[in-house]
Amino acid sequence: METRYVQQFKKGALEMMLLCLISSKETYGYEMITTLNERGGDVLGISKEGTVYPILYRLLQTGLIRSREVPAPANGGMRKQYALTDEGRIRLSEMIAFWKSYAACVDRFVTIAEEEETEK
Amino acid sequence: MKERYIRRVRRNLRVPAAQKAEVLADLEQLFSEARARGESEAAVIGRLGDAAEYARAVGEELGMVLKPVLRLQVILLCVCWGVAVASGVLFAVSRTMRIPDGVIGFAQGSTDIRVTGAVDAGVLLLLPPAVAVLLSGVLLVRRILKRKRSRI
Repeated sequence: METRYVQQFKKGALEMMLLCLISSKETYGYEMITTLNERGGDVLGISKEGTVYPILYRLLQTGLIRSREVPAPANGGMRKQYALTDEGRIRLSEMIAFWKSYAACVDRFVTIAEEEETEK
Repeated sequence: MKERYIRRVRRNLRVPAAQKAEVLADLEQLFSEARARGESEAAVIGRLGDAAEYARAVGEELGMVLKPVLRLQVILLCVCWGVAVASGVLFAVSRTMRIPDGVIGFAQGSTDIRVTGAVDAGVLLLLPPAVAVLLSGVLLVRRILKRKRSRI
């Protein structure tokens, strides 16, 4: 069972990771979930449709991503592909900049705490 | 199994009709893609999670889930405005109502009866609309202040 803070970290980071995936190339739900699990499954746990799709709906609603229907060769039907909007690209760069300074800041605290622990 | 799941999502999803249609169509696509990959409906449902929970998560992300306090305020305002509108209509009717000709007790000519010192009870009908306007104003100001505070 995951602790609450781990869940909070994951939830906050998942939105940014999805935007990163969509910024690389136009992609679709199953592909995103597969990549998330390949690249981060060991830390994030298995990502599922039930977690990813609600976030995609919010990103669509806020205009950070857009979607379009394309033919799906596998089943002969249609598939929804997601791409980043201009606003989404701007927001993602802001998020990345903040994330880097945030991670550096947390790291400073962790390093000092670890050093103090060793000195004891 | 798939139909039942989608039906349950439809029943529990509290979002505008267009968004609801989109979410349900996406589910259909999702099941169809999974079938093409040779996955069972049960496997897809397992990854989506409980239908009601999925609908709630989508609603929450789209900002459609009202918090309990906000929900109470919305209900209170609806009731208040319902009573206010009904009172306003009654007041308007009471002011414009004409007594039909020939009704018992109706006088063709003017009488010399004057009622003095009586309270115009019809004015009381304006009280609920006034309360509704006042309450709406208070709740609106509180909401604006709360939003401003949360941005700081």
